[in-house]
Order: sequence, then C-alpha cells, then structure tokens
Amino acid sequence: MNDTLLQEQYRAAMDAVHAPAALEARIRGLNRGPRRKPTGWARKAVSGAAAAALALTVTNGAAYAATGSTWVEGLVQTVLTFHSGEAETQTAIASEEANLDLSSQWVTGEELEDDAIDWSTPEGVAALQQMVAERFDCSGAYTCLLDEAGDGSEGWLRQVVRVRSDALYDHYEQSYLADDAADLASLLPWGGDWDLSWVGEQYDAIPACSWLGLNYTDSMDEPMTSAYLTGYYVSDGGGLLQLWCAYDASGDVWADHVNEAELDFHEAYTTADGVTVTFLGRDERILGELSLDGMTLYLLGTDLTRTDMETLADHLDLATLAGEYADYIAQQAAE
Amino acid sequence: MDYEEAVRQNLDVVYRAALACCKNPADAEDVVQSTFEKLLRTDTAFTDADHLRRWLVRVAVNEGRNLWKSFWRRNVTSLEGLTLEPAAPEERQPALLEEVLALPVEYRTVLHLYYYEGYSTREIAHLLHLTEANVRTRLKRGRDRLRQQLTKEELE
Repeated sequence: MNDTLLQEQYRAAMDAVHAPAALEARIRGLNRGPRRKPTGWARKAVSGAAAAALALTVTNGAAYAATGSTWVEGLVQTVLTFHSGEAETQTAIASEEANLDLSSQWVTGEELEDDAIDWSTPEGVAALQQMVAERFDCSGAYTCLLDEAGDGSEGWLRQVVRVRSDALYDHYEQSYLADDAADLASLLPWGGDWDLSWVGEQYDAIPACSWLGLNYTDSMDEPMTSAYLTGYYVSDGGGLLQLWCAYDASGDVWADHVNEAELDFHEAYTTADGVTVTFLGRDERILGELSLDGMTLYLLGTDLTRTDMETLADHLDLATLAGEYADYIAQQAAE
Repeated sequence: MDYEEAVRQNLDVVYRAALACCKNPADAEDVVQSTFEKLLRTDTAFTDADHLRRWLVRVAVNEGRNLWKSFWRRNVTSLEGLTLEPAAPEERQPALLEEVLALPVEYRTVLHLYYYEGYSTREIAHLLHLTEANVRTRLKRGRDRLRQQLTKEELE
C-alpha cells in the first residue's frame, strides 16, 4: 500500500469518527453556566495525592486548612492557572461552587481540607519532604539511570536521573535535591550567576525540600522541555516562603485572570535592580510573580508582610536572572 | 464566529485529534472539554476558520500532552488501566481505524497531525517538542506498523 493510499484511507477512517452525543451536549453547555466536572479517569484519582500535590505546588495547604477562605481558593486559582506545565505544577481553578479544579480534576474543598498538610509542624515538614522525595523515587513505572549522593562540593544532596518508558513525553527526569534552592540555581539551563543566597541568609530553608528538575523528551541529548526550581523557607516570625521558578520550552507559562475582588492589593513593584514584579495579596498571604517569555518566577509568602516580600524581591538578584534567561532564549532561537 | 458555530464546525476535529493523542476515549473527552474551555477564555482574534481549527488542534494536542505530564496521572494510571477501548464499542470500527487506535500513541499522534491535519514534519516537531528527525522516524515507524497490520489482516 503506497503512502497516498494509506493517507486517503486514514482520512476516510477518521472522518467516520464523531464525538459522542453526550460529549457534544457537555461542550455546548460549557458557555451556559458553571462547568461540568470532567468525567474521565480524573475523578478516580481524587485522593490525598491530589491534595498533597497541591500542597507541594502551592505550599498553602496549611493556609487553606487554617482558613478555608475563598480568598485562598482565589490564590490557588491565581497561582496555578498561571501555569500549564509539568506534573508537579498543576492548574487549579476555584469554581463558583468553591470546589477546585486541579488540572481538570475536581476536588471539593472538604477533601482538600481533610488532606491538607499543616507544614508548620514537624509532621508537616516530614510530609513535605516525603512529597519532594517522590521526585526522586525510582519504583513503579520509573527506572533509575543514576542515583548518587552529593559529596558536598556541588551543594546538592542527591542527584537522580530516572526514565519512564510508558509515558508519551518527558521520559527523562534529572533531579537534584538540596537544602537550599540557592545551591541549585547555577544548574538551571540558563544558570550561572543568579545569586539567591540572600534568601537563605534571611530565612531558614526547610531541609531536603529544595529541588531542581530538568525534563527531557525521549533523550537527554535533545533540548530540555521544562525545568523547575523550588525551595521552601521559614522566617524568624514563622512566615513561610516558597520560591518557585518554572520554565517550559513550549512557552506554556502564562498569566491567567486574577480575581481582583478578592484581593487586598495588586501592584506592579519595581525592584531595586529595576525588574518589575507583580504582587497580589490579601491578609498575610502574598504572591509575587516575575513573568518572562516562557519562564515565571513565583514567590509565595504566607504570614509575611508586603514589605517582607518587596524586600525579598529587591535582594533576589532578579536583573541577573532576567538577563541570563533572555540570553538563553536568544541562543535557543538562534539554534 | 460564535462559540456555538465553533463547536459545530470543530467538535469532531478536536475529538479526533484528542483520540489520536490520548490512551483512551475517556481521556480524549477530558481533553476536548479542556480545549473548548480554553476557547471560551482565550482573547485570540481568529482570522478565519482555518486559524481557529489549527488553534484548537494545537491546544488539544498540548492538553493531551499535559495530561501525561500530570503528577497524579503518573501515579494513578495503574488504577485506570491502559487498555484502549474502542471509541464506540457498539459499532464495528473500520479495520484501518482499529489499527490506528491500536498504534502506540507516540506514532498515532504524529500520523494524525501529518495525515489528517496536514501539518508538516517541522510543524509537528515544534508542536510536540521533538526534533524533525524524530518526527520523521515516528512517522515512518507508524506507517510501517500500520501497513504491516493491514497486510497481516488482509492475509488472514
């Protein structure tokens, strides 16, 4: 069978496929009132894992559990709808029914509250460490190609390269674990001189909770598809800070809508080194965001003041980050 | 073009693309829903029907891709099983469609974009974050498997 014939037959076969009537009704109904919950596998997956992933991603599981406020849901919405990328960074959208849609997966507020982790406690820290450790787990569908402990000279505690052969994309994951995200910044694809050390000097990094992930499709010789750097810190006053830097080669990192009505403030802050960071906040929870083309840096503070967050942004060496990233993107484009 | 008209013209197109890049119809339906939700939210000014179609297919493929990247999907797929159910069990599918749906999804996606949507290998490479060489390899392997299966079936 020649290629033209195969193509013709393929087209004819596909033309015979039509969306089921129930799906059509659901899609037509999307613009008429609240969205219906997806019906696929996702519902079955609602569990502690979903809540855990949320807590890991947004780090406001404790805040959610403590307050249950609609604003926190709004913040979850804000944080997560910024990003459509990688596994550990799911989208979540607060619904009008106060449910959360986690990457097309619905979780009720009650379910989240039941499973949310208060990571201000030792148990919570241990749980957070456990969640981070999942990135380094080589059981189940993953096979480890490399698992080595750091010797201290590079700043990281552990490096794992694992492969998953039964998924479509991001088969290869290279991950580094550290006590402080500052020790991993130089390993970012555009990294080099970005200096995060001020954070670790002013806040206590939660040990073994900073990680860098580099994801590749099919082969590690091919261009990286996404990268994530995240770190968790506690202030002297008990405030919590998550630093999260996300890069996706597809450019799929975007800012979505912000529910202004639920925010105390929403400002564009210019740092001492001339970079503009958007801050959203209410009560003691503040989200800072620096969006570049295909990369976003998030700073999420719980029980930290606006001044704390602005000071943090001033000292994060963001001009260097923006400059290095711009150079990297230009180089990628040239290639 | 209003939403209703966009759905009328493109629902099947998006569903077919979703089937091509998902492991089962239930996932495909979720991908279709996510895709049209994004259409409702987008500010994109579509220049014509073809622009809209290509945008929707692109979003559907990305949604399918993101489905596989999800943290809990990676961890709960064993709960769901990965056996591909026929899109419409009550109807006998054409032999070629059955063979297509039985192909590994990495070949199926590429074949669909190339054969059905008319994307070039370069466009597919960009969309799927693969090299062009990799796309060509997948295309060739997909075609070969399809031919092989069809020939085997004819012989039987």
